[in-house]
Amino acid sequence: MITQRRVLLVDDDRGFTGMLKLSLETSANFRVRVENDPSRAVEAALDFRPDLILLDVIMHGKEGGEVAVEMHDCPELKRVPMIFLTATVTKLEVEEQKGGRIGGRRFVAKPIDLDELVRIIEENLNGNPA
Amino acid sequence: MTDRSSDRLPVNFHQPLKILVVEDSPVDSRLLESMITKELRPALLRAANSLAGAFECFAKEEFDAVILDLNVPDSHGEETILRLVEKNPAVAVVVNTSFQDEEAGVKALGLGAQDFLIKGAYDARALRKAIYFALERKRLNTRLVEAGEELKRTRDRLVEAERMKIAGGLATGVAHEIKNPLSIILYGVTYLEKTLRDKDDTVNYVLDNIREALGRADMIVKDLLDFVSVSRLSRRVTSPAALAGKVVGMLRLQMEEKKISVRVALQDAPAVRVDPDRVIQVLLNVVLNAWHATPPGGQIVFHAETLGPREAASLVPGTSPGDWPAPLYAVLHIDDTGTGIPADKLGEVFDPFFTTRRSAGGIGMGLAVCRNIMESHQGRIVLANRTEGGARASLFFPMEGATEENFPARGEDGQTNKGRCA
Repeated sequence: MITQRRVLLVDDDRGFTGMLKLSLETSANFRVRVENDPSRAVEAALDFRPDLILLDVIMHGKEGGEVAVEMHDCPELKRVPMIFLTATVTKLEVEEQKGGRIGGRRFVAKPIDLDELVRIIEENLNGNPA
Repeated sequence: MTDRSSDRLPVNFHQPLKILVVEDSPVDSRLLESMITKELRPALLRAANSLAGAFECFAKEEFDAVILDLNVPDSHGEETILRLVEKNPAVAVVVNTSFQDEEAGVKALGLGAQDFLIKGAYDARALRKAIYFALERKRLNTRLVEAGEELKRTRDRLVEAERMKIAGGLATGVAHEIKNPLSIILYGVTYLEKTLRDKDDTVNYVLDNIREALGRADMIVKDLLDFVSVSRLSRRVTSPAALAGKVVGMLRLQMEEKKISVRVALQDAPAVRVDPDRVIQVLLNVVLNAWHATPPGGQIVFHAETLGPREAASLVPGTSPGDWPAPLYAVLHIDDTGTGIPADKLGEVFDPFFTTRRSAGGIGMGLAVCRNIMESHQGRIVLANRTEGGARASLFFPMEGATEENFPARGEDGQTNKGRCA
């Protein structure tokens, strides 16, 4: 049996997280936990133990970059692959970068097709087994 | 005739002039002519006894200054100076008026004359001074007009830059805010498609429509962001022929479908340092516009030439050589045999949100983005109607540091352009 991969989704837009969780869980074999409050993202990650974290950049209260640093400082989480899912960059800007990385981080531009997002999640899971 | 418009030095009082005397009284005319000959030693002296006669002289020769009697058989008073200046705006005019009519002389100064004389009240020295002073005033006035025009052009450019900065800021903010809701709709419709597709024709119809609308909204946001984010370019030395080849390849099917033949005559076009992806974006826009405008069986032709600032300025209305700072420009022309651009629309085609295909879903960002891309390359894009019909899009790329040795510029005919760009 293929084990269900666990994805933590940190984004303060409830409409977006609800819809993405529904899509990822029904169309792909993922278990998704949503955290809409960025200041509780580390807590949620320690509790959920995700295989991968999807992180928004511009959020109320705390920016995605800060959350990423907190995760990295936490020994239990520092090896969990992380993908920034953001509307602040365009697809072109992401494509211009090698492997869609900006400053060593994997970026994905919103809006992104579900199939493409699933492909990128799987790539990053395989490259970084949890 | 001396080119006074570009003269930056005061008039030389010993320079021999070309002078025309317009005077219907033979006595006054002879008196003037003899004074001028003795005192000024002119390079050319002609006399006419009517305004029509004066125009005949101007048709044959150029003059630096005119001594003008306001009352000649075929014209009287103000009308005389107005008609003369309208036809010959560059010439310096000294009005010669009778002593009862000093008022008319003063008035003539406001109508385009540079000085006036009162008949019988001047000698040869005063005449000489009047003519040379008139020339100097004309020169200063011309410079003032040129400076005013330059000021207006600069102001227009600044206003435009400010406008685009505001539009850019707005576009980025709006685009960002729209992308989140777009994502929600995208995942929502993806989910509905997976669960409901093919269960009901109406559901399929609704899903297709939402998908299509979503694609359009995403495209608008992308165009808006493209429009404001062209400042970062990754430039490479690139051959225009390769870029055009790529674009033609992308559009091959559309061209075949409409039976439009495409000719790329760029084998001799000089290489340019550009961001190839961005230039392809410009070419795609331009060629797709040409495709839309060209009826079946038509033709689209790419060709190139190399131009200096002077030639570029003469080709692009509203620009002077000073607006073309690079020593040479590689120019790519894309000609079509389409319907051309309505003359009253030529000034607007590069404005954001201008489109002639609104009903077909055009949002009018294409050419605005193209202009931005070309300007970020320190180049230009120009659209014009060809005299033989159809439109021509011209892309000007600066060849920085180009000299004729390291850029053996060649035109389409294979002739070197050596020596053409002084």
